[in-house]
Amino acid sequence: MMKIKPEIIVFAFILAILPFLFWGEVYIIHVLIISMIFGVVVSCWDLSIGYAGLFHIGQLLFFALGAYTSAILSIHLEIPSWIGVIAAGFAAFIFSIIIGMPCIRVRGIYLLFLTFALQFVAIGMILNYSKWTGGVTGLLVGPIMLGNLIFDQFHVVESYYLCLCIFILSIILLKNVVESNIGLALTSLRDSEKYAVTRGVNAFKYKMLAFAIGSFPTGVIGGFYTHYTGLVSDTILAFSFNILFLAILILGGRGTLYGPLIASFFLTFLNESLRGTFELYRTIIYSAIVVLILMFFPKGMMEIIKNAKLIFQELIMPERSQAIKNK
Amino acid sequence: MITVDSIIATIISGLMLGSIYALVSVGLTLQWGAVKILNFAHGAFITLGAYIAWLSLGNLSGGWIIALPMAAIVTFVMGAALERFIMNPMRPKPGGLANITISTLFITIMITNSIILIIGPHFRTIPPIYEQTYYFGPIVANAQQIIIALLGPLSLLLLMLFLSKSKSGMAVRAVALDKDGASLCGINISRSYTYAIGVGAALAGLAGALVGVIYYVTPNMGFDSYIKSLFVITLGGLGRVKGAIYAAYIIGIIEALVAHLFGIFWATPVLFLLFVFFLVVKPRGLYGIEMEL
Repeated sequence: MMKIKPEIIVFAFILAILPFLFWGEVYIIHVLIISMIFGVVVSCWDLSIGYAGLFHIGQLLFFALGAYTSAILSIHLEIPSWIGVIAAGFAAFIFSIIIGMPCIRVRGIYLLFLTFALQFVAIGMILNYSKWTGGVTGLLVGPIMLGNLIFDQFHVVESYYLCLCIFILSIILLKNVVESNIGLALTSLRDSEKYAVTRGVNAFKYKMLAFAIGSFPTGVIGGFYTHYTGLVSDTILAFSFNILFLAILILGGRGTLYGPLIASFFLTFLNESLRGTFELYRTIIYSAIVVLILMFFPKGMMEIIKNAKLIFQELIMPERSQAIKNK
Repeated sequence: MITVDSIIATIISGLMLGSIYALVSVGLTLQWGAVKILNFAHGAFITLGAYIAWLSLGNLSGGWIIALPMAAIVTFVMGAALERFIMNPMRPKPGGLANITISTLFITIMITNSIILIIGPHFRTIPPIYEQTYYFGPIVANAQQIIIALLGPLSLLLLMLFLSKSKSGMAVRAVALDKDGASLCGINISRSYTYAIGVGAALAGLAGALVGVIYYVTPNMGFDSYIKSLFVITLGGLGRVKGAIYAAYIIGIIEALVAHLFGIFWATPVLFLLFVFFLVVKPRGLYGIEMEL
């Protein structure tokens, strides 16, 4: 049975009234939608990196697969786009099980290499099977339509609420998974795999679950992303997307679930506000922030929020906090 | 047209590619063996090496005799600085190794974007080392290809001399074998780490200068050879210098043959498909070396 945490309700409520505060500011609502899309992908990724300790970069593959499935279904097979979006989730789910088999056999650094290689294979496939995927030019996709409602970039408020629904549902799913026995098993596998296996945790089953559960919302949001932006091309697998998602994950803190969600809003807005005057410095600035975070707060933003009082004391009264530590 | 001559010409260009991959991946595998981290910034050092060679050829007299050592020395200093000021403070903290790996990824982005900011995103060309084409009967070989195919083994020979004869080189090998034992024998581990990262970066810089001669110099040029060298070091066994050299030539020749037989667009996907199959069959690499991140 799904439980809904009070903080999720508060979060949903705040996000639900935000469009009224920025009524008519299409650009701000657009950035909020993009932040939510990134938030879903990164929090799903956090399930395997932060909780299961599987350091892979396959999440972008699920995202791209969702996007292409939905686009190809609506263009080549002319299936209604809302069915395509749900099918995208299932396609990513099945794909995650297929690539999960080899990925789970591989451990440590080799997992990173394997998913890295898969990403380049996927780019090659997209470019070489241009009859279906459109190759470098990509595919132009129509909006999602439900009755009279149209969800695309020109109808931001409708899109915002559809995206919010997917966002909140995926957080509820992930929070429940993390708090259940599955989350407990994953954390124990991350901390000490040998001990967990001797205590009867099925490593293969739970790692596969981490892959599969994380892939479904990613596929759905990928489908939504294509119909929202109206275009999908091979740039969706560009390495800069990996970098941005990884930056969000590190900034938010691995294994915190809410951290990446907050960080995705922070980083996307930072990214957008640096456009224009600081266009050239944009990537340098956010990379520098991530390196500094890694050097001084390796657990990310959630650690700063939790330990705000201690850090404040450290800044104001270094001697006193040293005295407390020595006690 | 596939003839015996064209296959031989392809193998020569494969040997040239192999020399470059050998330089790149020996540096990477040396860093992995000694410091136990995956250096994502290696690709950025390839780019830096190419730009330094380009700047030195344009602004300094002396031509290639000066440009190649310049590329190696400047990247050595930058690599050593990276280890000293960024990796060293992070190492003792919890989850240090994974954090260092991730931070090198972002340092790559910073270096690439700084180059775009300072020098500009345009393609640059480096003048060829030596322009001459040789005809061995029906086989055509470019002097430049032969020079590059020979420069690779030459610099690797220098590296082997450094590792086996000099004191700091032997210290790096000792640390790679057993960190704690080396420390008990009075070896300064932190200095060995700096040497290992610096020497790896210098090899990358040298490779970058050579890649720049064959292709163009662009801010993203290092990334392509870097991702292929990941396959090379896995095939050769992580941390094994000789294994990486053999694997580099195998991969170089395979890539040249695939590009010749199936077309240039298939070269990279086929290589990575092979990588995926390799990891599926041998999940811990050819030598079964376990590496936790």
